[in-house]
Amino acid sequence: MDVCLVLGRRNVLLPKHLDTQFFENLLGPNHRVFLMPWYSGNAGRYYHERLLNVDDDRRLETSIFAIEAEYQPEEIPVMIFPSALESAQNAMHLQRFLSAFVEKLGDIPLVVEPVVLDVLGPEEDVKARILPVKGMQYKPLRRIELKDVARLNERCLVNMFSEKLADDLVDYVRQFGLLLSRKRAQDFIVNKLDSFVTEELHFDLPADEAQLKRFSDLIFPDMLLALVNKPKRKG
Amino acid sequence: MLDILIPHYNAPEDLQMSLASVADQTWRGKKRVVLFDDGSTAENLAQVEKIVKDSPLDIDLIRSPQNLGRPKARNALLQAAEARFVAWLDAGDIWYPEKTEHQFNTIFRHHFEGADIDTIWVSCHYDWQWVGRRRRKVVQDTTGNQLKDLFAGDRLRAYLWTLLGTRESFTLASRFDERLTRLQDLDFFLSFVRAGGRIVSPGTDAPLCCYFKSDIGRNAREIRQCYDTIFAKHHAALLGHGRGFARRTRVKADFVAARFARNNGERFGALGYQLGAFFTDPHYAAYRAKKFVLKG
Amino acid sequence: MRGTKVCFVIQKLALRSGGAERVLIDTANALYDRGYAVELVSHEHRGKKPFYPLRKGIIHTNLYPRDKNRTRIERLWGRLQNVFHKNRLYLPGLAHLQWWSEHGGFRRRLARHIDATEPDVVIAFLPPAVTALGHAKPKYKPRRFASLHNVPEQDFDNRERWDPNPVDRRLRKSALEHFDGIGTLLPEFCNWFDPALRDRLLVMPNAVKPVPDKKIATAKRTKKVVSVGRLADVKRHHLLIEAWADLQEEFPDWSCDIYGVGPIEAQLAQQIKELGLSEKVHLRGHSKSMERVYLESAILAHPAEFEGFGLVITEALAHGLPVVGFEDCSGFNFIVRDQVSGVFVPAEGRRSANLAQALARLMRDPEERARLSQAGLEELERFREDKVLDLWEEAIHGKKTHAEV
Repeated sequence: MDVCLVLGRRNVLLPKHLDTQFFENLLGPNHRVFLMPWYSGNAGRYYHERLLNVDDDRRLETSIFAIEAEYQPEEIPVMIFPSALESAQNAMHLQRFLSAFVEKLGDIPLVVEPVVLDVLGPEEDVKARILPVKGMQYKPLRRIELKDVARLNERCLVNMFSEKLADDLVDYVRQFGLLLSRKRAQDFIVNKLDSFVTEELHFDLPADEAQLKRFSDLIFPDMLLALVNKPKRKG
Repeated sequence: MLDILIPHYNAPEDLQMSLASVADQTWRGKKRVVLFDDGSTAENLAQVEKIVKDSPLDIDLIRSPQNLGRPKARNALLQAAEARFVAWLDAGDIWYPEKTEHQFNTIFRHHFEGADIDTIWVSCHYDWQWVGRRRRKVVQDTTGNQLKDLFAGDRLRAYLWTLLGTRESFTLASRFDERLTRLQDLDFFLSFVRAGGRIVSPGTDAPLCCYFKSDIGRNAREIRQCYDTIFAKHHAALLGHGRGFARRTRVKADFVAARFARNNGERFGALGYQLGAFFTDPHYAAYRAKKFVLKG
Repeated sequence: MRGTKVCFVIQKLALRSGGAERVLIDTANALYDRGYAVELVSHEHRGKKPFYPLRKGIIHTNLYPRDKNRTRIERLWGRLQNVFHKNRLYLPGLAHLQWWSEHGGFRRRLARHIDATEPDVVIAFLPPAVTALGHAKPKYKPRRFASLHNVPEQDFDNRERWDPNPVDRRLRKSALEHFDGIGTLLPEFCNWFDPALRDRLLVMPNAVKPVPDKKIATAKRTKKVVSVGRLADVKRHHLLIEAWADLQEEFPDWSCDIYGVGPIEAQLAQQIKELGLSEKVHLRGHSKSMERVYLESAILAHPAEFEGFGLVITEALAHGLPVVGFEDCSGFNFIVRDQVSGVFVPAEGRRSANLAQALARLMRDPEERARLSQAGLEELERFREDKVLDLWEEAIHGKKTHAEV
């Protein structure tokens, strides 16, 4: 069985950031992101990182079963592990998952095509993190340069910005006696920034403190107002 | 990996509509249609062949030189199925695009939870459209006592084209009973459940297919006789739910037969069944009469 | 897709853990695995599930109307019938009425069920079902097969077994002629049947579950003779106890364990005490782990008078035990071959002395025991599950004609 693993950073690859269709096009023909709504309950989302806890239940067995049922012979399932290479420990988790995969497949050989995003750092470091697995073969490593893929690059920048501003937003709403979780704050900022991107306003990553402050002063009141005046959700 | 089994008899336009709905499925796995032409006329068969040729689907056409009838056609289809998974469709009915995808996810969910997927069928809610009327959603409720609900026919109905399951699951108990020119699905469902099979629902409230219903040209007496054969065959199981229940089930069959008779212009035939029903279970017959009057 | 429809009929199945019930369920499961459509039909008051696990996919139908579904009058009538059925005074006419009241329902409902389901073959297990199926008159005519699991004299001539009503005994016997095939466990039983029936007979022994080689190779056998069987007269445990009185002097380090429960337990215990064998011969009662017992013993002594088949003997052989029994014991002399997989004890003369002599020879000679044990395992080839299942397929389809072969 051929499987493509995409390894990279959380702030690019988490399901809420990524459009699977777009990603499939990026990886090339026959690549199809493996979806597991039977597990997550959310149609169209992938949570492959949860597969790393292989011992918990039958999630790996069912994944193999689903791949065998749903994929045409020439298609390659794509699994995305946003944080698999972020630390040596995560890398070992991935190795353990792949060994279990090999074991569960039995006689069927497993070939893995690793794809990494350049945000992970120089190629040598990344290669060192991809650990060998007995009974399994790697295809040559593929790198996706973010600067070549405007959409991914933009996403990456938006996420980094939202990361920097999230704490400020939490503090800002507290002035009004409101409590907001950091995660939720980040979501709000991402939504706001997305509208900038659609208007072709781009971000400059090395923005300094003063610039950030000016920017947050500009958008926070607006965001809070928008929240207060938010029309009621239908249904 | 999925074989879609479709019997066809002299209705090429209907078939074309069904095949188009199969081609529109969002599920992206490998699928094959096995089409059994049950002795259509040469003209219709030629049309079917053209449809098959023009279709984007992978279709295997089996031609029967004479008309064998539904149960034999179904058995021939089951015999021809090779894939791990099987779904059914009748020419003239349609699937909505997400049907296969939802049902496969249900299979995977049960596999994940450790169930033996060779003993489950995934059914679904469906739209029911009488010719010339509005579509109405019909709920398949799989939560109750499935055997009892199948007999009663209100909460759970035996419609093969709602199902997806493994090929193994469709050979769990028995084949289609070739004596049953009608209602062979009901017998097939009853045998499946009695043999320990379980019907499950996909995790969506939306209807996933549409049934275009018409009673025209169907013989009421034939239907009633098929009911009798089924009740005799599963006599012990039917009686296991109580005498009153068994009686009511028979009366319901009378009302179904009466409906067929009425829709085919046999007013006296219909009256006969209704009277029969009244003598078997006056309570229920009165209830039906009241409902009929209130509805206008 | 499932082909031939097979319908097994047995009167009582709910929670029954007997040998015939096990054969029935094992066979039904195995035939299901071979692609048959299988239904089990019973006719019993109890609405419980079978004791042995049934494959999913096999339908179990109990034709007996459930009590809760009967009206009060019917229940009262049923109770009166039960009182009537306890009658043991079989007057002409009354005995007929009693038979009809007791068994007529099974026959009638079975016929109706066959008409409704139209199976390709119906197989009756044990005499009550044989009587019902033989005399049932369905319009639809499937192949009928009777499967018997005891010595025919016991099933058909013994006044105490099954229904003691003479009408039942007569109908039981006359039912056989309505069958297309009759399965019996041992070749010697064939002689009992009417010559007109002989070409319908099929000898179908019980299958033996193989024991893994490793278990036998690593078995730690002690100096123990074991005997297994219901504590009843026919098993003749008393001969073994008598024989042990002769053996104890020469073999002080050997012991004898008797497994089983039954009506003559106290009598046997008394005999052991009287002969002063309490130290050496033990009544062990019922054991849940017979496998361990077989693997820890050296010899199976089987002094029974006759056997319907002798599942104990095949089980012992499968666990690598040589078997000692009387040459005139049916079942034993079919399964075991003298000096190959066991020892035949002469029936002439004093039986207990002969038994003691045969046992002594084996107890002295461990090499001989090993040789018999090895040969016994090979002997069991004949009773392999797939071979027995082939016989079942012959029972279902009838003997193949030359044209088919």
